[in-house]
Formats: sequence, structure tokens, C-alpha cells
Amino acid sequence: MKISKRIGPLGVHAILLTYTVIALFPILLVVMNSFKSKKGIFRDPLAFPDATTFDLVGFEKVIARSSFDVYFSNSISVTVISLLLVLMLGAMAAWALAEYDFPGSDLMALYLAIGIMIPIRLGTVSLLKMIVAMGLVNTLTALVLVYTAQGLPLAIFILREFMAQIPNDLKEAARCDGVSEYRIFWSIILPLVRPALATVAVFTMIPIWNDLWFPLILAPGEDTATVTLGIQQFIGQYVTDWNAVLASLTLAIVPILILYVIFSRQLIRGLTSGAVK
Amino acid sequence: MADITLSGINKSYGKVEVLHGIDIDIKHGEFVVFVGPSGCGKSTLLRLIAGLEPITDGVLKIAGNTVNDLTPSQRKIAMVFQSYALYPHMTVYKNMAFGLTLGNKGPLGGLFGGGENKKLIDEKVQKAAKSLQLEDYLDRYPRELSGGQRQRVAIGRAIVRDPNVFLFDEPLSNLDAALRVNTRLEIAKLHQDLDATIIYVTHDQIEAMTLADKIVVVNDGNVAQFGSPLELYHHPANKFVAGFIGSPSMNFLEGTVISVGNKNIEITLEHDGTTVHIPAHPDTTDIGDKVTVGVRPEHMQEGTDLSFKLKAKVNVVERLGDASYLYLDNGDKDPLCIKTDGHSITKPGDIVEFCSDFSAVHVFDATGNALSRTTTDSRYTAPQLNIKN
Repeated sequence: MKISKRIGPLGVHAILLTYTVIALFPILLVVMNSFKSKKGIFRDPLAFPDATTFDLVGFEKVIARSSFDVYFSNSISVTVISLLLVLMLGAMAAWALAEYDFPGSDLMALYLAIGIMIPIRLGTVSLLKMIVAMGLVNTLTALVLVYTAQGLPLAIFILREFMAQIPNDLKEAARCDGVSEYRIFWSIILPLVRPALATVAVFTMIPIWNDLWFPLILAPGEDTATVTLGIQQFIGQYVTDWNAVLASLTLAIVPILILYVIFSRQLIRGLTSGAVK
Repeated sequence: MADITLSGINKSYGKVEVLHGIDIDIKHGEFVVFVGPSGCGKSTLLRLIAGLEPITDGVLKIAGNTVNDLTPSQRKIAMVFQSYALYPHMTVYKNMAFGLTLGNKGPLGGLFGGGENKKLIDEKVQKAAKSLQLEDYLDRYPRELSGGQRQRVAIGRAIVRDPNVFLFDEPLSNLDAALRVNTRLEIAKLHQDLDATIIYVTHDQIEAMTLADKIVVVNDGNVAQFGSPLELYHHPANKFVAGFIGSPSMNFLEGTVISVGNKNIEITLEHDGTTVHIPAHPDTTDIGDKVTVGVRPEHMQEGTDLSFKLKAKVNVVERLGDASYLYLDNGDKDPLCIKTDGHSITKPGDIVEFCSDFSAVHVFDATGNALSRTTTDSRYTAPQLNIKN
């Protein structure tokens, strides 16, 4: 009885630990090998860097031989601007769908939900045509527009569910207080769905940061390349500069990690503040 | 002055009509309680007055102006909700001040502020906090307060707006019994201090009786009766009000009219065939009509001292100390209840003789409407109170 009670949580932890190891292993491998010399990488890829293999040549190459700073700032601005647009427009649309009953609101919600099911990449050809027609090829604006469209359906879906759960009394109390509908949204609804906003932010930013597809098609120019695209120059048909690839990948992890920490804090704070009634 | 007039108020949700032509006249400074069973429409009526739901038909006037199409804040009402509805992410101070910081001027409906100036707001909030003993809690968040304190904050938020009308939607339902009594007294005191018109919704008839200047008994979307608490208690207009006001509720016995006089009526009861002479105006009832007679438990006693005598078996005895309630066998109908002395030694299974005064008896015709009583016995009629207004 006692043993079987203990096995349950142990089993769960064993499974979770295994998953964590599997998930973290490639990242660890990348980070570990980025600090090694080429010989060190190929002789024993699984070893930690030591005195003989430690080498920062990868980072030096990345910084010296490519416009990594440009890629980096491109990635950051595309991610941050898309994220802000997704959160703002998504929250506003979600609020409208959750709170107001207008003709066709259900159809509209369904239409937006379809975006979750159909991958945006299916529309690449027509997207490219549109971007060309608008004269936005090789601009970051093109990427921001596409990523905003890509992120909105899920954002609206999640936020709408959260907003529907906010007690009616709160909105009605605000209306009795003479609070305008805009103000209700900004001052009452948004602060209350902060945990949901953090969730949406995390789910939205990671695919944007990691995307290779759209930068390759819509903005492959040297000035507009993002980090994921920029790294490709180190991968050649015949020779791949593994030091540089691994070093740039390691660098690319940093900003997204920082953003994640910021949002996950919001997430936890939001959850605990709601728990105490 | 903020008189409120409801004339012919109808409310429908789709094809379902939930309020059927409500007419109520509320004077400035009155404390009016809407009371009725769950689902009778009393909360809907309050929300119509608040402006949270559109009125389907009829005219609502506040202070002489028709306000059907105005928003809640334009109607200058303040509402206190059952769930308190405090903004969870704001401190007590901000909760109370929030409504004042916004004006309706400026772009996007005052999104960027434009309300009253800070000093004036602070003055109002501090004053309200003082009167509600919330001064020490102004920096706390609602989650750090007890139920009673949250309720006071909700009331404070209403006070600072200085409204024409206060609306309370079952404000005490979420409090425990002791706190409920305290808060009830505070609300009564608040009414005296503020000299404001208050409309209060509850399903608890004790709250209704203790707080109200006037009670509106709502039943199934209609006003069953509108009057002072004692009027309702002594002169219920129909069987529903008679049964709803008073606890335990009124005893009902079926009977048939056997003779009608000018100011009295003679009825044979189905219970045991007794004949009773009730001082009531017969109105349109005639010999042979089915009627219901009603007597309050507190107007009955054990023994045979009074004019209206009955006999029945005791099923249950509830001893409360100061009084005991005897529940008597009444066939397949609701049991009869007598409020008797706390020292009564009657026990379940006993056959007791009990009695009441014919003057204490109410008669209701087949449609449930009360026949007007003609008794002059001051024990069974509403006293004339000299209340202000």
C-alpha cells in the first residue's frame, strides 16, 4: 500500500526527468561544442570543453566574418514588434468576440479559429505574390505582417476563453462607475488576463524567432536576414564551419531565453495572485 | 430629489416575458426592498433600473427625467453587487477612486483620464473610508480583506460617486450569519446618514422587514404587493404575500363559505368541519365558494381560551428557548405550525387543542386575493407609525 503510493509520483518524475534530458540534450550539445576547437568537436563531441579543447574561435568567426549584429537586431525587432501586434490586436479581437454580441460574431470566431488548424505555410505562394505586389520584398515589414497573421488565431482563441471567465459583475460594476468600454478593456480586463497574455506571448514568440521559412522566401537579403537565416551562410554544400554554426546558435538562444524568463515570471505571478481568493 | 417612477415596465428575453407591467412609485429618501423567491424577476428589475439591461417596454423616470436610454453612470446610480465585484488588481483606495478618475471627455471615451482632480478625489475617498472604518485598509488589495470588509469597500465605492440612487443586489448573501446582522445594521445606519434613495434586492424576508421603509413583493414577474413592512404583515393583499412575509409562514386551511354578512363571513373548514365567523368584508364571494383562511403561527396558542378552536396531532416540536414551534398533522397539506411558549411540555405524538382569535384570521378567495379585514383589534392591525418623509 505504502510502496504503491510512492511509486506513482516516482514514476511520473522518472518520465518527466527522461523527457527533460531528451529535450535538453541537443541544446547542451550545441552550447558545449560551441566552446571547443574544431578538433575537439570531432574527436569527442560528447565531452565537455577542457583546457586542451577550449576555444572561442567559433564566436570570433561569427563576430568578425558576418554581420551577426544586423541579423540579431533584425530577429529581435521582428519578434518583438510581431509579438506586440499579436498581443494587442489579439486581445482586442478576443474582447470583442467574448463580450459583445454582434451579428456574425460566432461565424467570425469560427473563421479566426480555422487559422489555428491550417498552417500559414500552405499559403506561401499567394503570400509571396501579395508581398511582391505591395513592394515589401526584402523588408522586415513583410515578416512582421506575416508573423502577426500567423500568431493571431491562437492568441484570440486563448484570450477569448480567459476573458469569458472574467465575472460579469466586474464589468457591470465598472459600467455603473461610468467607466468607458475602452477603459474597461485597458484598465480592468487586460490586467486580469495577464497570465493568459504571458502564455500567448511565449507560444507566439518562439516559432517566430526560430522560423527559417519566411525569412528565406520573403526577406533573404543581407540587410534583412534574421539569425536563423544568417547562420546558413556557415553551412556550405562542401564545407560546414561547425564552430561558427554552433557559436551563432548559442548566441541565438540568449535573447529568447531572456524573453521567456520575463514572461514566465508574469505567468507564475498571475497564477498565484488568482489562487488566493 | 430623486423620485423613481416605474410605469408599465416589461422585460422579455426573446419570446419569454419575465416582467409583466411593473408600476412602482418610489419617493426620494425611501429605502425600498424588492423581495421574492428565486427567479421571480426582482434582480432583473434592479438591473433594469440600473441600466445594465435594456427595458423592453414601459417608462422609467429618475428625478423626473425619462432614463430608459441612458447608461448607468448617466442615470447617476451606484450599485453594490452580491459578489462585491471589486477590481482584484487595485488597492482599496484605487477601487474607490477609480470611477472618479475618469471623465467622459477626451478621445476614446476618457481612456486617457480627464476625471475630477486628485485632491477632490482624495477628500471623497478619505471621507467614505472614515465613515466605513476602512482607513487602515486603503493600501490593501481586495484579496487581503475579509468578506465584511470587502462589502464595505463595495459600499464605499458607491458612496464616493455621490449617486442619486443606491442599488444593492443581495449584498449580504455571501456573509456569515453574525456578520450579516452587523452589516444589516450598518446599512440601516448608512441610509439614515446619507438621506439617499436606496433600492435593495433580497430573498431574505428578515432583511426586507428590518431594513425597508417600503417592501415590494415580487412574484413571477408581477408586483404582488407594495407597502410598508407592517402593512404587508398585517394586511397582505393576497395569499402569496401572506405566506411569504412572516416566519414560520402563515398556516392555511381550506373551507367553504356558508353565509355572508355585511362585515363578516362564515366559513366551514375542511380540516374538522368547524364553523368560523371571520370579520372580513365578503366582497364578491358568495355562499358555496371555496376560500382559504390563514392564521399566523404567532397568533395561535395552545389551549381553548380564544374564539377559534382547533385540535390536531403534533408531528414535530422545535424548541428554540424563548419559544417552541409545534408542527401539527394536516393530512396531505402543509403541516400547521403554532408558536407556543418555550416552556411548553408538548411532545410529538400528543393531540393538542389550540386556538386563535377570529380577528387574527385572514380570508383569501379562490383566486388567492385577500378579502379586506374589518377587525379593529389593534393587536392584529398595522400600527400608525410616524416615520419621516
